[in-house]
Amino acid sequence: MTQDQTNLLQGTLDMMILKSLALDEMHGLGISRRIEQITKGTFQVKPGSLFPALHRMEEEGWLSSSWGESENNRRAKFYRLTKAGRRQLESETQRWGRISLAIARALEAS
Amino acid sequence: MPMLSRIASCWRSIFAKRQSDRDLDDEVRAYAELLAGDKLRDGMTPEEARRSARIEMGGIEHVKEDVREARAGAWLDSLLQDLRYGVRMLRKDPGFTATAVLTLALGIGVNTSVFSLIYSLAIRPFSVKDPGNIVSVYEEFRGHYSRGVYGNPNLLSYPEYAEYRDRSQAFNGLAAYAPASLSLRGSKTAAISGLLVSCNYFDVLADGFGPGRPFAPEDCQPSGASALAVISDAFWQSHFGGNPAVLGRKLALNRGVFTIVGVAAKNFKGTEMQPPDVWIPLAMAPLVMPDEFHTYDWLSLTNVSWLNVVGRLKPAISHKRAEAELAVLVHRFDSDYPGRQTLVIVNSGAYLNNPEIRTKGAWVAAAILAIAAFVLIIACVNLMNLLLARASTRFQEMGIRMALGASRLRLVRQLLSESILLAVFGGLAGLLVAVWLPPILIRGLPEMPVSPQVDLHPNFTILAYAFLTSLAAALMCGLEPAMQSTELRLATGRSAGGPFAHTSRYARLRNLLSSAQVAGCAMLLIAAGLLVRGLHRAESASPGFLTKNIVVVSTDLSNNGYTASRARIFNRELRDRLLALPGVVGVAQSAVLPCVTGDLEGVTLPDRNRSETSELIWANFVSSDYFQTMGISLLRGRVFTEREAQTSGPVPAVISVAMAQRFWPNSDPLGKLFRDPKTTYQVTGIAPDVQNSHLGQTDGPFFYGAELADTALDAKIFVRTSPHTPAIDPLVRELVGQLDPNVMPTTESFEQVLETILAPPRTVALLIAILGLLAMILAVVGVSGVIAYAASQRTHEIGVRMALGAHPQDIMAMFLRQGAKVAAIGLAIGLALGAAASQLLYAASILFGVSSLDPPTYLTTAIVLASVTMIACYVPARHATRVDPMIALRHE
Repeated sequence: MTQDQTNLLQGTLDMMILKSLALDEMHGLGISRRIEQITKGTFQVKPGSLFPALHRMEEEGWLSSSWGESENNRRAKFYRLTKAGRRQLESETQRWGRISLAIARALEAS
Repeated sequence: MPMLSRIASCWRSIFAKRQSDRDLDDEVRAYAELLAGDKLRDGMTPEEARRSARIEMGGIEHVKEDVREARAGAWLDSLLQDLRYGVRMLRKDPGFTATAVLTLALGIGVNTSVFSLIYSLAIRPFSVKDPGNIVSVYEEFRGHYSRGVYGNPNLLSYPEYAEYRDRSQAFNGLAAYAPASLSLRGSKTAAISGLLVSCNYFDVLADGFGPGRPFAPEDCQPSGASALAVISDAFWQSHFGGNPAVLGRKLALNRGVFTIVGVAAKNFKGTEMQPPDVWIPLAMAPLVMPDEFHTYDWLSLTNVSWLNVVGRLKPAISHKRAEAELAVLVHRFDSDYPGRQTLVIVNSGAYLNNPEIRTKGAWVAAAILAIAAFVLIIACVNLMNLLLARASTRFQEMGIRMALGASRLRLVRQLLSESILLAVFGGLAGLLVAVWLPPILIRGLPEMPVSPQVDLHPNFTILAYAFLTSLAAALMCGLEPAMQSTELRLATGRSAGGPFAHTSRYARLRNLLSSAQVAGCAMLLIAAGLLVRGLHRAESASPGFLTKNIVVVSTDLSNNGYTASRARIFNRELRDRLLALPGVVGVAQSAVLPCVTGDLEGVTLPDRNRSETSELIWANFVSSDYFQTMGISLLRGRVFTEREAQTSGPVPAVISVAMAQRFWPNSDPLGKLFRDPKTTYQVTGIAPDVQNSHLGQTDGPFFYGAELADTALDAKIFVRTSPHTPAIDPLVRELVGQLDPNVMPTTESFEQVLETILAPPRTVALLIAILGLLAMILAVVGVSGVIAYAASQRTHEIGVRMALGAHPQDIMAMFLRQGAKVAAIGLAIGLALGAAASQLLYAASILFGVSSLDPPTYLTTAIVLASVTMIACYVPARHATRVDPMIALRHE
């Protein structure tokens, strides 16, 4: 992956994670499946990118974690949004809205 | 809050590592199992499902590693890891570690000691309250002028100080002080140290006071000036046993009687390195100061430099602003002395902040710092060599690591951690050296204006210096080996350890470093050699007059209220009585102590044309028996007689050959006249050039005038005894006591006087010689190491050569040639550096006439160093020839 694609991906990955946790708390695989689902397969997040992002965002204070039981009765870590996380999701959504509008306009202009 | 959780993460990575690792493991494994579960449902076998899940994930450990690196505590974790690794590496080779730490400790310790000394003497502010805005005020004169000097030409006169004090807006208090030598009269007269101070001295500087009170402004009013005294706590304890009833007691000092009004605070030192016994108001100067300028009224002397001035700048006033303001005020004085221009200098308050001392001292300080830094560099170079050798055995390891994906930075960091650890330990040990060494150095330098009590304890600046030096040492030693050993050389895999290693960058670098060590060593040995020769010359060569069996007698007549004429009579009486003592063969009076003090006179010739600028000539004023007592035989003419000296008219004088040639190159000087601002002299004789002003250097023009009344007060009396006469000191004291029981004579042999001049260069020479020896050991080890390393790398090649018929001598010659090349380059550079360094020694006047390019010294150094390095090469070279060719051929 080229350098700028990776940067873009990190910013969007954060937002994807925040969005997928908006309704419910989930563990790692759940988040990964949800992202795949809501982007209709466009983004498939590997654990090598997902887990570092989750831990980083937890340190930033956007997520909080707790231990619970997964589907196959195994100990797993569940993540949920914090208040700061919700605020971050809100502002990111607005930002992306502005950016995509601007880009759409730019591409339409002659 | 992101900050808090980052800190928590760092904390966890140190203290809860295992737990957080377990958690991470659980989390990632849970993911793997859930994924496998999915695949199982899709129809794979459990085996396949697990495998497929792992491949899809990218590997559990890999994911865990990615998470670890993304965490906030990651850098700390890897730092600790590096340090642990470094400690393990160092523990594996305790011999190396110990040597390295010791070497660094000495290097860093010496550097920090030197810096600590310089800082404590010249930069550290006075230990007074709020030292931040304390400054000293000095004056420098330009243009056409003459000025009386008592102490140092940059000091102020009282009217100048008073003008600044009263009219300047830049200060919150300006105080003046001058040292005074006091005789405490009592049942036994003793000499104590005193300081004349303006009445605001304690206000400006002191933070607290002992019993009683300090001086108040009323004590210094010209009309009601009071003979009061403040004593130091130490004096209070030693002379009054700490008795609180000391207030009101009286002290008979010099020409007055002083009442004690207070005791200074226990640790108060004010502006002195060692607190004086007594402080006396400046207004009392007439009772205490000598009749140096034909009057006791020192406060009215406008054109005499004798007062130190210290003040507290108002906040937000800079040094420059204060200087500018005072420069305007000093105009008033300059207008009375047309042609003179006074510059005012404001320096931060510190002990040696006098402009004159600063300039001279800066040279010496720079030289010593440079030498100390050089020793550290040599030590670091040695360590670097050793680290390079160690690094070369780990090429394979580094290659594999980098192939596996370790970043170069990470590996360099790890390798650097070893040298940083070494430097940390070395630095700590060096601090110990820096605490223990400076007091020893001070005691070995008696001539310096340094009291053994100067405050030497380390403060933040000194610790910072030690830290920075350690860091620099660590980087110097470790960076190059770390960078070199991580240079990617995938192609050869085993990197630079191949058959042609001796031509690799490593070997060249090591050779260069060894040459540098030899160069440094050569420079130090040359400096030591020159100093030793200079000292030898100063000690053995005759300065032109006798120095053995001569006792110098000084009396404190001015302290006892003698006028110049009374002193003259006293001196004559004393000389007559001394001559009558058994064993005495000559007694003479001299205004000056040869090789120590001197008198500069501005001389002009009266019978030349109008426009004459006076030339400054060194002079002495002596009794007529001076020449016979000191063993100076005149070349022409004759010595003046006592009677001649007393008649009115021109004062008789004997001039030196150099002066004769300067002033009367084409005529006979005998009988001619010359003048200084006060007197006219007539030449009666010509004496040979001797070494009056500096030991080891023949004088320029010089004249001996007959002793005048005004030179009588501080005159010295020289007494020469025949050899094997027992010490006459007690007899001298008895005689003086008979003439006047209040006068205290000091006697010392002239040899002792010369000894004090020679002591500092002797200490410096010793220090440099020791450093040179250390450097030589390091250089020898370095060169020997280079040859040993080359031999080990070329074992294979040696085997081939010997198998093809080379003799052991050929092999040895090969290595000796290599060693010789290293030594030769080092020697050449070192001799050049030595020449440069000797210029510094020359500037500090401690060569005593030895040329800075003295051939025997350079030659000896070259020969000694060359032989020593050749021997150092011989051992490993011989070892190399002992190798069994069969083993060597199989060596990889």
